[in-house]
Amino acid sequence: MKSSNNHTENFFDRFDEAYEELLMNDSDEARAFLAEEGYDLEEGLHIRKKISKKMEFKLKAQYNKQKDESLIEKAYEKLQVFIFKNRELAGDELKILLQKAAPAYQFRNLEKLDDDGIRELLTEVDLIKLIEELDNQDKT
Amino acid sequence: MGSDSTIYVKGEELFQVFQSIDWEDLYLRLEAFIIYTLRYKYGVEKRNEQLQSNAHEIISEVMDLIFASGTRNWNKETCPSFNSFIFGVVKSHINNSFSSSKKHSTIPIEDVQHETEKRYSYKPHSLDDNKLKELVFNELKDMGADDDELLVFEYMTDGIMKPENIRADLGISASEMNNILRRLNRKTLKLRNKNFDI
Repeated sequence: MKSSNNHTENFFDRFDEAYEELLMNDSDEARAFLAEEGYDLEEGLHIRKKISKKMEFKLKAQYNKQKDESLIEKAYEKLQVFIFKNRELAGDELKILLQKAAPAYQFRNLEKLDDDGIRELLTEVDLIKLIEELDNQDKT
Repeated sequence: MGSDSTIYVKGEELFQVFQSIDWEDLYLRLEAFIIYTLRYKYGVEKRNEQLQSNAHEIISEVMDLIFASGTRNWNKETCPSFNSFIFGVVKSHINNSFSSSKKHSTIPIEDVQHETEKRYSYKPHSLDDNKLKELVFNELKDMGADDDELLVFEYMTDGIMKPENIRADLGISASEMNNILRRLNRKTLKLRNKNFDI
């Protein structure tokens, strides 16, 4: 579409860019452009609403997932430190801590949990509460 | 992608930006911008529905790059507004899709951001420019450009690029200015491929 002559191309770029700038910033112009091109604005509005809602939902879910994953990692690291510091008491201490963070959950065989097991278990507890508890334990 | 000291907007801050956006409004502008770019800058000849569907795909991909995978990072220092940033990413994304078919060279995102911010910096007035300006002016007249279009053309070729400055000088409204720019743009698009003998 563009001319092969660079000089001419540069000369014309300014008109392109001025119009692009309009489309980037002015919704009325975006609407006018689409109408001029023969797009159905009413139908477009419906589609845009639907897609933007879907996108919003998807991105929120992704953000929450990332946040949860980073909380799990944080809790996991703190738990590892806690277990290392309290090697002899780890089982009972851990049970008390976890039960505070998830009172309804039954914790069994904590001593036999491997790394993956701990991560799995962390998906069941209130991570913020657990991290707070671990921080409190750390201070005492 | 940036030096070690570059600070990108991420995590909670990026999510707050995301929540503050009027998505329907942004989506409309993105869609129009992409359709314009595909149709008029890259000469994509497809039916409207296909172009619209391409625009939706590009928007979705760009959102993923910014908000999900985090491979397009926003540096507020080089690109202060989110609006400029996202349109810069769209431009880069389209350009890179076309460059994969070796028609255009790849534009890294930093350059696109910079380009977006450094608009309106034309300094014409070489002999070639003056000659070309005269030839294009006459072509525009032959194409039926009205006085307003020709006047705005003169401003822009004299390096006065900001629409708000031009319209303040001419004493016209924003929508009148937009209409003139749109009409002028359609005509200059047709002249791009013309071989001017200078």
